[in-house]
Amino acid sequence: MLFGVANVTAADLERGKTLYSQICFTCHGPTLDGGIGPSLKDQYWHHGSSPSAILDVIDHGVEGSEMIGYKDVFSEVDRLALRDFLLSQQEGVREMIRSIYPPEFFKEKRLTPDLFKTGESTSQTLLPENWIYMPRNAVGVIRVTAKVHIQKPGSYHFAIRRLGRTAVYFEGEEVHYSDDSKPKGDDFNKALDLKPGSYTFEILHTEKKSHAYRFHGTLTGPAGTRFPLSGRSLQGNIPKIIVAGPEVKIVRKWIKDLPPRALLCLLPNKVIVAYNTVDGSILKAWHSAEINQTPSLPDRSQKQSEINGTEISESTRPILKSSNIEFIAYESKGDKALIHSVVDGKPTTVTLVPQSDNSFTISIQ
Amino acid sequence: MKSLIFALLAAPLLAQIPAGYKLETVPLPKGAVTVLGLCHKPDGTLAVVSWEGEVWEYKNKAWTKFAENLMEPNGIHYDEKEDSYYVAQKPELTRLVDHNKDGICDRYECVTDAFGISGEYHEYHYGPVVDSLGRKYASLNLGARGEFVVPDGKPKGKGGGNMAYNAPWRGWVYRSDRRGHFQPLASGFRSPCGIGMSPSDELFITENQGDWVADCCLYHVREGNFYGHPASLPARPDFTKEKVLSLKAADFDKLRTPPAIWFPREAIANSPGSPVWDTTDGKFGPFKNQIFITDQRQSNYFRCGVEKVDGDYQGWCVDFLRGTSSGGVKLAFDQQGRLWSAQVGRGWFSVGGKRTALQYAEWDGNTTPFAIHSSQLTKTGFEVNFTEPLGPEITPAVTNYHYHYYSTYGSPMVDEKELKVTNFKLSKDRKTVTFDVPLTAGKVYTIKFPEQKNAKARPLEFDTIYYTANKLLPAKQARQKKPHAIKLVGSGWVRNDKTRPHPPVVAPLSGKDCVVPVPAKATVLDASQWTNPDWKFDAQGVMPRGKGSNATKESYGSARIHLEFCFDPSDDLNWTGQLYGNSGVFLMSGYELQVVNSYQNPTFADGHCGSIYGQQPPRANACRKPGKWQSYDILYKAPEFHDNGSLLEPLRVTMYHNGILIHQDAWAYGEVGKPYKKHGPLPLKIQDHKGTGVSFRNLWIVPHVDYDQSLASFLGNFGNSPEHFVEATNKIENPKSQKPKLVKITILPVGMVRGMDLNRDQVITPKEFLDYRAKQFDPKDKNGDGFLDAKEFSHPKALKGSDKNKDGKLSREEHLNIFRGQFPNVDTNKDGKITANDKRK
Repeated sequence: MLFGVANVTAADLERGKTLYSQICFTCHGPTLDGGIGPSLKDQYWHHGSSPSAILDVIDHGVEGSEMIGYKDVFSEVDRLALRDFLLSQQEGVREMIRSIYPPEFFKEKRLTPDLFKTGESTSQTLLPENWIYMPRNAVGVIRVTAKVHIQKPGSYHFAIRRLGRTAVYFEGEEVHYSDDSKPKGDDFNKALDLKPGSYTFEILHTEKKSHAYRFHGTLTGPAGTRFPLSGRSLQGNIPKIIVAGPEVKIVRKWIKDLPPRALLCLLPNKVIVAYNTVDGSILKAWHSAEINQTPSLPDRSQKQSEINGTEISESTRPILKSSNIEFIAYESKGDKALIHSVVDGKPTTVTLVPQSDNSFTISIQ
Repeated sequence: MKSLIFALLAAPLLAQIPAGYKLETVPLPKGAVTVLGLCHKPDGTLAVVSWEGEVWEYKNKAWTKFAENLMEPNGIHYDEKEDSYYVAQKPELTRLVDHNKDGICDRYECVTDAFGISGEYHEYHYGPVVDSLGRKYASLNLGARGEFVVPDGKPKGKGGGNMAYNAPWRGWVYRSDRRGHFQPLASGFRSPCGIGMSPSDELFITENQGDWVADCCLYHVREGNFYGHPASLPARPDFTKEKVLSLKAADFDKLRTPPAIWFPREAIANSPGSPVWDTTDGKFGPFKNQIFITDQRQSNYFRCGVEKVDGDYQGWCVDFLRGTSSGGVKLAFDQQGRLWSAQVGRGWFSVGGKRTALQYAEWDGNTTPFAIHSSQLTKTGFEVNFTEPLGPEITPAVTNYHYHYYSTYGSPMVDEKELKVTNFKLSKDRKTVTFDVPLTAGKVYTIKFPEQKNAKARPLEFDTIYYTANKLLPAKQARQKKPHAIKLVGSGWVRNDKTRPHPPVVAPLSGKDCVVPVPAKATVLDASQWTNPDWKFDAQGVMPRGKGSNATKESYGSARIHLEFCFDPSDDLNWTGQLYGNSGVFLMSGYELQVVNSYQNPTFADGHCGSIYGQQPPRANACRKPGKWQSYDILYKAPEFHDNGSLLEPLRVTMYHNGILIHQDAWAYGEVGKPYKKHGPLPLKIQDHKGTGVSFRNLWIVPHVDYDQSLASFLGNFGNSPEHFVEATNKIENPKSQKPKLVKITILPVGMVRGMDLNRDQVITPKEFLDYRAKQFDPKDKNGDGFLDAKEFSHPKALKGSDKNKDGKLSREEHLNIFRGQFPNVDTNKDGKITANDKRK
């Protein structure tokens, strides 16, 4: 069994890949990273990450979006191949289902899957973003069942922050156990030697009632492979790339090694000119460029946006050449970027205009 | 497993919507739109800003994009007069103008970028909100990381480390009223992400718990005050980074203003957003004039109220509604009285669960929810009001606690105590209870009504109200002062407020540095220019204050003025405060710039030398000693009026006192003691006032100046113009490219390393080693004969070994030779320098 689906052949995957690169890539990107449509590789599945849920979206599309249903377009074999291809590209935790059980029955006992067979859970939730989190002030023992898709072969292990009792069962076998009552370092941790494929695991966990759920864990694998299990809010982000259009776009984003007050003028010929409003200089320029805002979108914008493109050499230079510059405004006029300042008391406009397909000109009025 | 029911879309967890209200969700535009702020236009259009940098308008259930490609705009305001939006994007306060009215912004104007930004990701910029005069207010977050932090030796705590001051004015709230104008108002903020202006023009800020912030809270902002996070203090004229680091928590504690309301963590809030006031006049239910706030983590709306106790605001908070889809950050009422919220689940965990949402709460117009309405402090306990008559059983349970003030992230609730409730009383309508509990100032009171039912046996929506009792009611209530004719809008103060912080004392420039040549266009105000014969110039050109005020013959509009004055020295204790050298420069006969001795002569803040009297204290007290001549250099813009007499633009003034900038484009709120009244050019007046003597000289005026054109060059006058603005507006500090930590030398004692390694590179060269030793010679040579004898050098063996000429004492060279020999012993790895790699064997 590969990636949770029975009888997948290499030919099926190849067929799926071909279909993807003919149709789907236009919206979801050649490497499934997303574009107009969402990423098909990240942990966030708007409509479910199970094989059947994915097939359902392929078949029927998503109402109110550009995603149409392909049921009448492709044969069933093709649609299954496409689904299996998508699944084969997955890495990390999927289909995480969290059940909460009343705590009384589990008191003082070692947590095992068998214990849970006798009780009945009070709630089951499919965690849409595959992060384990808990309702506010929840009381209970939780059991999380999930799948993990492994791409890189090698040695993996669960690293769980010790708080309360935690057991991890991987393919039915206990691979981790920790318990508050034992001295530190007495945790049971089994390394797992895994081949690419899909595996099931479950986490059994309980801790004292607290205002915030404090479970922390990761599944760590070879060469930096790290699948966090916990602790984040739902923040499935839609990728965003700013590409050149018929009109100039003047963009303010935080880019590595550029001052935060830089204006990024994205000209229609895909040239980006980074202009420093404070000292009136060109900081840098690129051609065949676009701005990828996606890295800055998760979390609190801790990461910068990126400029993808070819740097135009020797574009750094002062333009206004004064120490008395007051930045006033910017506007885009057709294919021109206009930057207004007051230089030594005189209103001054720097105009950036595209030139050929990889350059720009500057005029000052 | 039986009955496996998936709640596929994270249903609101433990939603609790009060009776009579409903919470509705509005679908957002497709794509990457994470809502951070919202506002309404009078025509019913709703505008939202997104984290991704866009402004969207929602009208007739359709979305259109108005502006894009901004940097993390964190709040939006629609200015009706200008028909444009203002947004606080990370690097600047920006005005978005749609000149051709096609519904798409075509000009992005920088309103102010006079604050610093280092590029550290946490330097968020929130706002703006406006006062009734149309001025914009916004707040500036500190950085999450950076070099300048203020730890006080306490552990960091669980939530994070110390926030850093990486650039000017971070951790401040500022005001801007037009292009280029930046007026810092108050300091001491950490993450002031909620900002709101009350209907009576008072500014409030909400904070998140963190270092130096014990818990989430609401501050009433008063111009000049400090609110507790010391990292922002270096921007004040009376602080430097060194001074801040030399102070202790107890010092900052004396300086700070406590929050008006604490929001107990988890129970009420973790990351409160912007406060709004229920001005719907009953359209949103029975909570008229109360403050509503939404919380990002808790995904709730809660209510607050403040009352003035002994001059300062304090008050209560109570939960109102739970279960928003995502984490609320901003609220806004629309014309129908619906309370909208911008919600985001990014960055911090939000109970609601969704990445983002736009929702509104609406009241059905007649169902009264059974809720705690409000609470007031009494002399002996509390009064608590309910929206509906209470059922038969009423058992309030009251506890109190306080917080630590320290650099650790958040404070636990300290010394939590159950209190005995006595003297319980219920009002006739059964809607108000009063009771006594032991009261202590500085405590938060948790007042709970467990299992409380109303007369119809319906349970209470949320059963606990929290009251922050910074102060207790004074034994004798201060007499209610009549409100003054002039409101100091947005400043938080009233005229002549004794508790307003005094301007910091700074050193004036030298008399020589204050000399300004008389411009060619100036009118010298000599004896021929004045009208009151009782004010006479002497032979030296000095004019002592005379009887009755003295006005110029000419009338003036906007002008540039220079004058010098000198107080007669006096040590008579009857002539202090406002009686020590009082006079005043009356611009256009009505707007007073105070002249009074402020050198070691305390008075109320807005009566200091250089104040716009009764309105605006100077930024700094740069007064010289009585007996010394001092100077004012004034540039002012005459007020402008509409034809109907109402004010169009106020009088503005920029001013130096002894070469120190004491007003930067400050507003006059009216004439001294009077509101604005339409007038044209008027004479300049100098005031007569009871008290010790004061004289004037070298007075001149340049009439007909263009204030706005002249401002920049005027600010260049003394070279010390807003120094803080210049320092770092464009400094790039990449938090990741911090210097590598040096590994410390351990082979020598710490004190000795400090003495030797003067360049602090943790490498001691033979020269550094010997220089340190050579310096020790003179202090040891007690008798100063240039030699160290056995008494002066207490190592006889070493002395003997190095005393080459056997005279029983060490010359400088012999003394150094001892240590030359030592160096190789310390340089254990023989690389010619002492570093961390040298270890004792």
